[in-house]
Amino acid sequence: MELRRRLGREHEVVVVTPNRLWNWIPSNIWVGVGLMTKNDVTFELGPVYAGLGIRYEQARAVELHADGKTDAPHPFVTIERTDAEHRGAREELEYDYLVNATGPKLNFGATPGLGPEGNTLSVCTFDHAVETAKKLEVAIERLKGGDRLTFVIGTGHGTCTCQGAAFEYAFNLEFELRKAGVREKARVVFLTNEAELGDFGVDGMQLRTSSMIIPGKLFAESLFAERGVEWVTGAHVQKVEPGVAHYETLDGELHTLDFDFAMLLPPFRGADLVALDRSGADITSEVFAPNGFMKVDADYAAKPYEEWRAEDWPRTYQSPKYPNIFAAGIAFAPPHAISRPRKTKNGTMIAPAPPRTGMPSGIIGRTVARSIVSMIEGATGAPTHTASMATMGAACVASAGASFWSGTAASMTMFPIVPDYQKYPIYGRDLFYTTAEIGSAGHRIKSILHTMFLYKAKAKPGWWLIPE
Amino acid sequence: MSDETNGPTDMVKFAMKPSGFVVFLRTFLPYQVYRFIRVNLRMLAMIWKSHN
Repeated sequence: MELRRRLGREHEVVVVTPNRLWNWIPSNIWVGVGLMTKNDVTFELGPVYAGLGIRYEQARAVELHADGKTDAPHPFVTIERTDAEHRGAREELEYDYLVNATGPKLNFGATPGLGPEGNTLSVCTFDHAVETAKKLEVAIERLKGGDRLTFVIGTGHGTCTCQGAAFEYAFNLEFELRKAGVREKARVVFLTNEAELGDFGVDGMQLRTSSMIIPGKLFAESLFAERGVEWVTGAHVQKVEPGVAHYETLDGELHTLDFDFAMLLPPFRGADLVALDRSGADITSEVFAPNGFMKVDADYAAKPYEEWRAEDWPRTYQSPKYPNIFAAGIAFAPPHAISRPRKTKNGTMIAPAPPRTGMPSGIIGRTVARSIVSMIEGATGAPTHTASMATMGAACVASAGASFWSGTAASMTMFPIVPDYQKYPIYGRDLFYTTAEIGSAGHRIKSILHTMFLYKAKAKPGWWLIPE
Repeated sequence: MSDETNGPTDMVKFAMKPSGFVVFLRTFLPYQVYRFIRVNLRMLAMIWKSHN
């Protein structure tokens, strides 16, 4: 949308996405507890792109031919149609500039038994969330009938990200159980790969209050304690059998946790996109990191946590191999985690992956678009705009229960996302901008954000004035 | 192998918990209107800083 707004009509902007519907994913949490429907969080992409003058191809990219072919050197991507009429048909789509913004592949397969096709539920897509809401309704009926049930919410692998979404679902579920009058019959357990609560994959936060600076861990734990939600930290789920999760904790001990209802998020990996050179040889490992995310202008040299620096993080999101290719949002390969990675005595890595969704994704997308516009207009051959996660902040509003009067949400801000201990000694962040509080004001902000970002995504008048 | 969690027994005992007054303020409309303004201003400042 930003490219279309800034480029002349002599340029064509093409969006390739396998989805017919756009999904405001943060509100899937509310779909997952039955407060919203699929229609509340989705809309048809076709009419929006048509209105903007953007060519829309309902397909997924499967092969990247950045050098073209021997007989046709222009770069192209091979796309595979996903619409009902042409499903599976392949086409070649030429490009001058390419932005890889695929988002993540939900890697449920990393943990046996994880996911809606296994033994747990999810809210990662609207279809998953709808299914989860139905299961929750059944569970609430069982509680009303006198059963005692265990609800397990959290992350389904040691390398998951998006702990905030699990946090939101746990507290919205707990809130709905209270509303239904069955809370005392339910045991709610938060099972997370974070070494401590409040880590959120960003190595936690220090918060300045009116009287002292406190670790975000205390803020998070106080909420869990107040709501009576139990927690297990530093957990790598090894497998999920019907009604029982097997997990290993940081001390290397193996545990099981019985459940009646489990919503566990999967780890992410890059989309299944293969890179080929002009002769057709596979060069995927040169363009993508082993986790499937695209290599960009980051420092990927392996180094210990103590040697991580803000400068490791990418600024332009340009592929080092192909200057006309960029990766935005989740699709770029981070140089390393943000949280300290930990290994159990059994050698199991339990390391929350860095979050790149939400505000960072939006800012990166806009930055990449502006750089491409500059390059097309000939101002420079190199990207002109930068946006490192080590110099940008993030605002996160995590719902803790939705209701106009009694609903609350945790409003969190941090600056920068990636701690910079050279610039901000001791805490790594500017404590003026690193804050957290919970209250109904947060819930109202969350509701406004839902409306505002759907408005923006639908490209309604003045959409571009709404900041990411 | 065991079925156990870190809480609530021990963890809750050592976790910081809000007072009744703090919990009351979380949904007390006049205070939350004030917080709504403060939080939004803070977020806007942070967004401005991030975009610049």
